[in-house]
Amino acid sequence: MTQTSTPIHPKKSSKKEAAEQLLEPEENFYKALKPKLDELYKEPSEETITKILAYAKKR
Amino acid sequence: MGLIKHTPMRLQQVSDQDLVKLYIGGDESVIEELLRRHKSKIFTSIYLLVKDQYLAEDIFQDAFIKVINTLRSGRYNEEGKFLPWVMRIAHNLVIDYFRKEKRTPTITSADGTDVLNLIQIHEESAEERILREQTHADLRKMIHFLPDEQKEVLIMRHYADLSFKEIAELTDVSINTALGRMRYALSNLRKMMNIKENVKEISVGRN
Repeated sequence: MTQTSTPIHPKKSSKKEAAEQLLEPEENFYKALKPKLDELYKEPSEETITKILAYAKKR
Repeated sequence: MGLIKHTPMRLQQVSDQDLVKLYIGGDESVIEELLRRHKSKIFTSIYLLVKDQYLAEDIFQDAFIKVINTLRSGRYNEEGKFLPWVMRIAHNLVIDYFRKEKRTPTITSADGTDVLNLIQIHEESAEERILREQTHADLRKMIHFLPDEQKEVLIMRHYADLSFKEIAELTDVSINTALGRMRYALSNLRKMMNIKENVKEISVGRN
């Protein structure tokens, strides 16, 4: 027998929760906008990460 | 404090709170996992507020140095969530920066020019890449045109993935106010996009 379970996706569920609190036209607009907003994600440089890690390891 | 045993392979399944406990307990390597999880959310949030790559790098680094110092000093409140806590630190550093520089992020622009130009991305040519980069730049400008409080909520909600409750606590307002600001932010973004579309149509009509 196949067991089923509900996957837990904290990020997705919290986004959904927020969307439910917006009015429908706002929610629809936000949904359409999300992919474009997601394209703006940026990463810090490797140099910055290396400095932080080096600092974290100094006691 | 009871230490949690882990192997490097399992680290990805450990909660933020347990990673923090591991760090406080002397396992410095877990900071790498915390950074891996949250660096993009935190850095993008900072970058969109300050609009400068180098400054964002500095503030991001300073925020994590504060995080590390606080964890080492034993002043971290374990009841709070890690990401909202780091976002609060980063947010305060951004505010400090603008105070020191006596600069404020650009406030709302009424004209809404130079805004979004929606394009579909498929097999990308050089021309399309330029257009996509322009689209990103336009969207960043639109976000920047939003009033500060609306911009903050949009960034914290979308990029930092904070709940409205967490945003409300961080910005010292009610949940309804935070939600209202998000609504205004979306409404203003839509207006700017409509203006951009109208400008484009007029421009095409003239040619």
